[in-house]
Amino acid sequence: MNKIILSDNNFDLNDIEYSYVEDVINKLKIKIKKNTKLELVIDKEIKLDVLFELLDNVKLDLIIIKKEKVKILTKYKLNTNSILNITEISVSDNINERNIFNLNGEHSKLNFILKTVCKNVEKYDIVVNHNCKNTESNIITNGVNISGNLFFTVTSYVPNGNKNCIVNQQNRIINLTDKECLIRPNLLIDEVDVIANHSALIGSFKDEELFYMERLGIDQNTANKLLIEGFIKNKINKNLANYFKKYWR
Amino acid sequence: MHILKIENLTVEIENKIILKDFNLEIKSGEIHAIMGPNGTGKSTLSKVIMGDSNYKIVSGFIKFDGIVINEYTTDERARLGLFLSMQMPLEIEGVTNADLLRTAVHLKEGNDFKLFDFIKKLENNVSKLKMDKEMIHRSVNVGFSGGERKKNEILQMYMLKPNMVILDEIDSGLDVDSLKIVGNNVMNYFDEFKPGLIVITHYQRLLDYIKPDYVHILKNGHIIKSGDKTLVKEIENNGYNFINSSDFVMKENNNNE
Repeated sequence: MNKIILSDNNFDLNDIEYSYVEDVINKLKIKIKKNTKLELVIDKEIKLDVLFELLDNVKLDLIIIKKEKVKILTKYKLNTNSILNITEISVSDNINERNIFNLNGEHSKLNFILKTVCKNVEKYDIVVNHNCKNTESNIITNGVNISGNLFFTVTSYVPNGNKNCIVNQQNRIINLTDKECLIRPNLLIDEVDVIANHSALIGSFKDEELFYMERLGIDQNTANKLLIEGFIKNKINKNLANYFKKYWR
Repeated sequence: MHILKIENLTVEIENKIILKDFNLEIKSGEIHAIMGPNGTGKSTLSKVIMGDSNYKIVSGFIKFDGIVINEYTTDERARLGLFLSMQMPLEIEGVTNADLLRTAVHLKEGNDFKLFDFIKKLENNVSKLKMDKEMIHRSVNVGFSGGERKKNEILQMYMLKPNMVILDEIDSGLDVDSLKIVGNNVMNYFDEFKPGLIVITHYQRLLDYIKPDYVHILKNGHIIKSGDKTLVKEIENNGYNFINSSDFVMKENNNNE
């Protein structure tokens, strides 16, 4: 798998065109010309602008792991028939992130999964522009807030005329504190011929779930840890989930 | 010998009385069937025994082996040996059956827990219940059929080896073959470990496999009639309305005296 580790500027890339400029705000540009996999690890405090461009008919499986305080703006351009699958995990204390997805080509498709356990302040602003007909976006944002403030803003745009788009959002925060968490799920759709779904849920685990476990002799603290584990592990691979294991061990 | 004793129990939820002056005693090696129309408090009874915090005990006692457990948390009651198989087992996405059971058994056995023994026991019990082995590694009840969920509840019982078992409508959602497997496995467990067993059901068909010593009819939060298994036949033939009930009226009068 291609890998970028930003702490030591290690770019282990094959068949991927890129440029990286260090400045007050570091700039990374990546062009994907053929089907590939890439892991981007951010393990130093950084301000970063990133541009991903997927050419026609390519698929990128992208894993993003954020381990340090990050302020990041990432733009993605998806051309015709391109597919972008992103699994992003945050194990940092402080994140300020904006992702802009431009689905510019017909039949371009985005699958985005975010998992985080929030200890301090994390803000995620995700914008999906369906700039072409027959495009699809599936956004899942899952966070567990254990001691901080967690904010998700997810906005999907479909302008008039871009028929047959599929727009899905599932946003959920498990807030185990009294502190403020917020989800803004926005579907801004100016076209009738669209399939759109969104869900936004903030709360602790359900009483029924806790009772189901407690009746097996599992105390509430352990039940909460098991449920955090399940919530984080769901839909991502085991290796990525292991970054969070201190929260359930 | 273990004894679960419920004395003059009155329970409410959202200011509505669900159980009223309820009395029941179950000893190890006894099977009690509780039957009754919908909405009469059968499932409430099972959840109150297990300490569901949504229900408020207004008066009365739940005693296990002589100890009042009204204030015990659900997990504490489970660790005493009480077990509830739920009418509608929940889906828990991301938590595998294996993780759930390993955690529960580990907490029960403490330092005596051995992973290898656990795995062997789990595989053996899965096979006994004719469950797909893959289910162990799947999220709890996610994508399971009604029958698979009920078998999963019985699997939990086998792994935890409780000494007082409450089965809340274990027969709902089961086809004929699954009912036989579940019914026979419950009886095998009963024959081997002799727990006290409370079976909540609507239908005689489950009681063809699990033979009760006592049958109680629950209506409006009371037991209005108790008897042996011939009572089940009466209900099958006449429904619950035939008990309108001299027993109940007498009991009410007695209480007023």
